[in-house]
Amino acid sequence: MDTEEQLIIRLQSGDETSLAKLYDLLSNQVFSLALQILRNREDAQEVLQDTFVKLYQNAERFNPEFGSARAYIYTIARNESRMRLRAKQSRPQKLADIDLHDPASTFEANQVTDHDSRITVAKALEHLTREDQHLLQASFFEGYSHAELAEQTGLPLGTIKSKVRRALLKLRDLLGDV
Amino acid sequence: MNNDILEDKLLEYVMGSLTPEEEREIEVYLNEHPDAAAYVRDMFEVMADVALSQEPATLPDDAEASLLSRIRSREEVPQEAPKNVIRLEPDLKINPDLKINQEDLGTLNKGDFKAGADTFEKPGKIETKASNSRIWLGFALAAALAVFAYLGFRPQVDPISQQLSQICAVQGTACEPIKGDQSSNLGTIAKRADNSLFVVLNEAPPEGQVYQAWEIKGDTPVSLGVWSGRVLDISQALNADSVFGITIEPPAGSPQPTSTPIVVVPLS
Repeated sequence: MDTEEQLIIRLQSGDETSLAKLYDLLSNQVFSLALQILRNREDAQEVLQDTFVKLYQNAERFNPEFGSARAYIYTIARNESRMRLRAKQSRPQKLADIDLHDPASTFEANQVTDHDSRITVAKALEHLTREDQHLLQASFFEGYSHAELAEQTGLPLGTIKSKVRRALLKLRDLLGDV
Repeated sequence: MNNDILEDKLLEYVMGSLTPEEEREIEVYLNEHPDAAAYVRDMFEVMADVALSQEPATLPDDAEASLLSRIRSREEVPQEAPKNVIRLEPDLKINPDLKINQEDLGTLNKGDFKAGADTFEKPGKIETKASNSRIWLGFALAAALAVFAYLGFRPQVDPISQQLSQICAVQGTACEPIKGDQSSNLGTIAKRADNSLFVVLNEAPPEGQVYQAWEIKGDTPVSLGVWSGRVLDISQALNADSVFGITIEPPAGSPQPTSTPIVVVPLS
């Protein structure tokens, strides 16, 4: 079975079946990420499509030296979500109001293999301070820029950037230890 | 670039808050610095891991089919004119609500665009049969002259201008020309509703130097970063009663401005 990196490399030569395979592997989580940021099912679905269209168009920009295939795809999805959020000029409702599962769809748990990874990451996140968890949550899933976080917390911008950096590095170390 | 500025830039790269031009600059840097590339890779992986920690959401059953349909429909539309087709319309469709001043973009001429117009393609295939050769040759020459005349005066819209147009079209964004000495036009400043800025200057900084942006609060300039291209995307919200300025500085930037600002714009 091809790895995700091999699939992107095949996609670079226009292999549409590779796109479909990547979609099967990652679409639920890309959609979840977009939904977390946008909190609107229609917008998240648009972002999901835009992400894979962009992946198809920009596959040649993928460089495994800079990160894995899924990191590349998640980055596209996150940027697309943030652009949409900015274009809408409004902060969406709280996540608690969003149902991650579409009652009209049949959920095939094709991401079951990621279940263990999710538990691992959740455990690592628990080891971060509450402040670090908040900064990662806000900057990664709520689409806040560092400047907005600085304004929110009253901390200097440079301090926010350092804290986010440190939180990510600490999380990296924690995940390495698990 | 000193360590703090570099680490900030790498974090912004990972977070996706750089302009495409800045991203390319960072990628050039990463290609030359394996340690920095490894650092960025680690950051990306952690971000992907964090994304994995979320519960996957379920999709409508037709989502994949509609994506593939969208991909295929894009493939059916030729992205570039085939050799025997002459494209007679520019690709850009101007948003009729566009707020940017026509004169600010210099090369753009609103009259040259038709809002909502479809691309018109005229078959330019040239028959070479002897009986019709002169007639077709005449047509071909006329068409070639028309295309040459058209292309000669066709406005060239670069990606930066397109990006600026899109930003200026967003509700709540105010775009203004940046005036220099003797009212010369230095570029355009887009002030977004959240008080962040997108600045496009007409010229890149002199070779071996960078633009450094400043937020001046009272008498104190605070660095907003350095840019080696002509696009400065200031993603942070600036204080409404501060002054925005740009100076030309050495490649690593300066703790304080060392030259007379080329741009000074009150944000109030």
